[in-house]
Amino acid sequence: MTVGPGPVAILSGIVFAIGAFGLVTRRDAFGVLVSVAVLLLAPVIAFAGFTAAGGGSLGPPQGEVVALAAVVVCAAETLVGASLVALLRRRRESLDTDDYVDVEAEPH
Amino acid sequence: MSAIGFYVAAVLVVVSCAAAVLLRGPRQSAVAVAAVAVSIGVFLVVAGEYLLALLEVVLLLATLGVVLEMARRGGFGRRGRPVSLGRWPYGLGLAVLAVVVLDGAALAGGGGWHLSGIKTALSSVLHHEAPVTTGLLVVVGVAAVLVALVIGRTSPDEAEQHERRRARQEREERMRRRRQDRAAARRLRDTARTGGGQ
Repeated sequence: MTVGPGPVAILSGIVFAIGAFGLVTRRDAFGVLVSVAVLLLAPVIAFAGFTAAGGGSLGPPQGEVVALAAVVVCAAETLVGASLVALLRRRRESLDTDDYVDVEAEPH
Repeated sequence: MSAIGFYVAAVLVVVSCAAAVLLRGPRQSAVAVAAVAVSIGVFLVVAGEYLLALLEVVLLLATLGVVLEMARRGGFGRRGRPVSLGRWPYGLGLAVLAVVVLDGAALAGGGGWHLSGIKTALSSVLHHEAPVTTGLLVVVGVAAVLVALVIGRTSPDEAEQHERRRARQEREERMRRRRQDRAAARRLRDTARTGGGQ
């Protein structure tokens, strides 16, 4: 028995929803980064799954290339985001995103 | 894609994603993120995307390793305690909306999917059909590493400023403790004097 594109789309939607839930509820910067990473992995599931099921494409399936792009963007976002969080943590002494509401230069 | 493999991988993916979002300690969160990377790798293997699975697991675990190293060096600080989940009703509402819209669309599509049935290996697609995309992805990855290094570096004057701030905080803490000790001693003296008077 094989699986078509439908269940793959549902799984992708559930993962996207979990990421969106974390993005809104988490208040620590590390948690927000993790949630964005989960959110960005939802398209990886969709594109790779669609390609495996052979659906949604008229020409040669390039969904796997888009999935790879999503993985690279996810890794890049996490790296840059982690650097930003480390920088803000050094400036604000806090991981709580509510403390980052007004980010401004510190007086010297 | 086999049905059993898909459903096992789906359960692993959903459980690990939920754990990554809900667990609040940095260490538990990091373990859950590693589990997410591995479970999506399992899903990709089930889907027959072996090269993509390898690249995904290696890239995400390497990124996680860099982030953990950053945290170990104090990038996220020792005082980074877990912050409680707030605004969860809004998050739940957004998640339900996402499930209804995305999965509703998928279910409404029903059997209306166009199946091309053509399958090409990722390495072949990257090499012959999308060389520009491959180059762009490499550029994006290298640029992200460079930008992260530029943003996350600690310049000498910044380190000195940190050291000064830490010394000032320690000094203020010592002074505060000394003031408390003096006040406690004064109270004791006063109590002893009052007791002696009686």
